[in-house]
Amino acid sequence: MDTVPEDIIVKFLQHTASGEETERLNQWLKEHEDHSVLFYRMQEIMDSSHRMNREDIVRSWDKLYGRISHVMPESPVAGKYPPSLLPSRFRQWIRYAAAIMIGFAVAWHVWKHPSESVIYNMVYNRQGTQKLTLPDSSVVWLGSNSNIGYPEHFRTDRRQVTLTGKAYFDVQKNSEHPFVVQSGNVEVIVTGTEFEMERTDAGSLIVTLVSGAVSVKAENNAGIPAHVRLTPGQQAHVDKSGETIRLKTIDPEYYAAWKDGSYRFTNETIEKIAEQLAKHYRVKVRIAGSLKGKRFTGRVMPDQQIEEVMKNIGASHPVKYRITAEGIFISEK
Amino acid sequence: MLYLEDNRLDAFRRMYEEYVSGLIRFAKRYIPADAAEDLVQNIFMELWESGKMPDSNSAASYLFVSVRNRCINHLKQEEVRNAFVDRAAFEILQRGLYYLDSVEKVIMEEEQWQQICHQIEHLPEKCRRIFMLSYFEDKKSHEIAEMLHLSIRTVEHHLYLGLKTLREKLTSGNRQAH
Repeated sequence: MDTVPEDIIVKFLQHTASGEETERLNQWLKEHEDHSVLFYRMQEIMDSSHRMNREDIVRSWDKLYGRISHVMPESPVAGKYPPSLLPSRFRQWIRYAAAIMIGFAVAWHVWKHPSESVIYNMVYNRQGTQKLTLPDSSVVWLGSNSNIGYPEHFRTDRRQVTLTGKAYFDVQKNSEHPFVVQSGNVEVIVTGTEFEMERTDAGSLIVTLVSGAVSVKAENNAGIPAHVRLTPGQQAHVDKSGETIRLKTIDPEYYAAWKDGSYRFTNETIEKIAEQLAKHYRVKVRIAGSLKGKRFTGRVMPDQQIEEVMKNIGASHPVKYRITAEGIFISEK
Repeated sequence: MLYLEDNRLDAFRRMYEEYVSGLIRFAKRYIPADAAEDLVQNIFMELWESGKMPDSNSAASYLFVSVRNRCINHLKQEEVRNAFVDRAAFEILQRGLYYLDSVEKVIMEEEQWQQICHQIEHLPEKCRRIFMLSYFEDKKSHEIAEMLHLSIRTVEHHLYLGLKTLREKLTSGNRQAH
């Protein structure tokens, strides 16, 4: 083995070999099986110095936990908790029980270490829209059949939450501690903004930006990342595999108007209201000429049928409506 | 509201913490560092989502084989994407992956690592110093040469000798583990 390119082996292991040197090493490795045995064994030894310390391992677990926490076992095993923690937990229970009427919340804690524990909240909303305030005062409107997970206290470097389903976020500005929403293989990184996120039944993810700026990072199954920055009024569609991100232009006003699942209008023109209803219920709305410019005040509740909505509108000004194959026609009573 | 101590999660976490360092280190040989952690995390995420957990005997080989296979895929995709930018480096890395006929070889356990540290202590003084700077402090040859007033060639020679000696010591005396 007198042709051993020893300086090249060392350079390659230090990641400083040139293309030419790499080529030479490659030739040498091909020459004889023993060369490979020697080289790859050396590589192993060299690599073994790059070990993760305990802190990095814990950090890495936290990151993984953020990604898996929305997938919990079907029938979790009820377990023990230290008696000393019970009272505060119980208070928390009361708080949630009072605050959440439609959905239900499950919280569990993870014992990181005998001495320190992280309390993780999982909130599931079955129906309607549920408003939540996160530990950093950011506000989330959680859509129906949706699930959000967040720690009781955010970590110092980033505010990470997990989402399945649909939610509208109003994030507290804090550029030093980015707010990160993880949904499957997609990460949305925010510094302070209003946006909506929805995982569709087909598995694709829709991120709609109303104001501010967000970054959407997706990753396909092979771990190849894709990245896009949204500007207000843009919507990103990430397909199920994380392979492609398509951009669409949308009307941010619509998303802002419906953020908590309900739509409030105060002294608003009927044209504007009709426009919102048309988008929301995906119907055509036509207005009789005599009604144009008339103003209404009212509220559309989540999951309300359009018939009911029309009745509500009729409360502030007498109107009648007809639902036809072409859509809805609103006229004066 | 339920308060749960999820035993399954605990076991999953223990498995993650036991292997993550070795798996990431292994993946980093072949793919960039940030991609390496993500690749390892994806394996665990899919494992968790599948609801299946390998038993403790087969966990190590299951995990390393998964990392290895994904690294091969990653390199293949890189190969296509970068249109053979660095053909030779690519071949060396890929051959390294196929060369791993037994994944157990890769699992550098604590014990084995301590063996390495122990053997480093027994290297000749000059070689030991140079090796430690490179191994523990990630210094490049030219930096070490500058620090110790030596030629780069001399530094590289000692590093090579150090690695070769360690390899021989580790393969001759301490392989009765399996």
